[in-house]
Amino acid sequence: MGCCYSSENETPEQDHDERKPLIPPPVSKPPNGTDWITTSVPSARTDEQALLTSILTKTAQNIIDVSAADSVMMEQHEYMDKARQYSTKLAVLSNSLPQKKALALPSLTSQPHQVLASDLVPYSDVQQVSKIAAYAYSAISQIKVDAKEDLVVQFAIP
Amino acid sequence: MKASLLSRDDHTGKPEVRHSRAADYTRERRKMTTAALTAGLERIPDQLGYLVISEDGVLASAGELENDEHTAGVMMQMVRTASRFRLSGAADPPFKRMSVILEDFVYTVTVSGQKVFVVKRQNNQHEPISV
Repeated sequence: MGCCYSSENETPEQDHDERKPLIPPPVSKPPNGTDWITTSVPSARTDEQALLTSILTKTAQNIIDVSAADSVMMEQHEYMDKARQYSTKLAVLSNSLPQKKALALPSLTSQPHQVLASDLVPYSDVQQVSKIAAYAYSAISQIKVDAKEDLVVQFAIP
Repeated sequence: MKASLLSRDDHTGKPEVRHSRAADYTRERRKMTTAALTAGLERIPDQLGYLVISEDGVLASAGELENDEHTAGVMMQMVRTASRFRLSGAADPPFKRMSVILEDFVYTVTVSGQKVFVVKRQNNQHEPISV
């Protein structure tokens, strides 16, 4: 899944409240219980420390620590209002979207075990179909371009 | 040599009957029907195993196809592709059964009531030996 819609023009009145993230982006808060060593690393353990720091920074960037983020205090009614607002918007949009085609398998028979138990395809039929397929394959593989003239010509300008 | 053939043999004498449904009745009926159908598959002569597959996954499996999710996946893809073929202008798929023919055995596949049935059978169709 990915971005379904994005637009350059912003509608300031609606967007502000709608697009406000529920979890504020982490403000470089150190993860719980770890010291943030960034400067003056003892030279002897530089490599190891650098490696650890890089892992730490990568993790901090990629993972949202929900417990560390300030929780958004929303009243129950505000929450319900937002939920209702979103679902009405969705309902409006889903009506205008084309309906997804049913991917159901069409039923081939109402007597599956009769169909499955009946005689296998005769060997002669299999032979014939294989031969036809082989002919078709060889015919297709012989399709080629027959070059008759040069592609690039000089214009004769008197 | 692999060959996949679609056969039009119509083996039904009975017309298709449509039932009206209520949600839990359908569920019970589906459970009941699957059991009844696997019994029918067991009785197929020279069968080496079978699979009953729905959109959600394998409903039943037995014999050489027991727990064979890989084969189930492959058969589902094949029958899904095949059931999209249409002879010009026709509304329904032009076949009742799909056969995947290998050297020693054949997978016969059909679709009924949103379920895919796969039966692995002995391949008794070989080059006729002229004596």
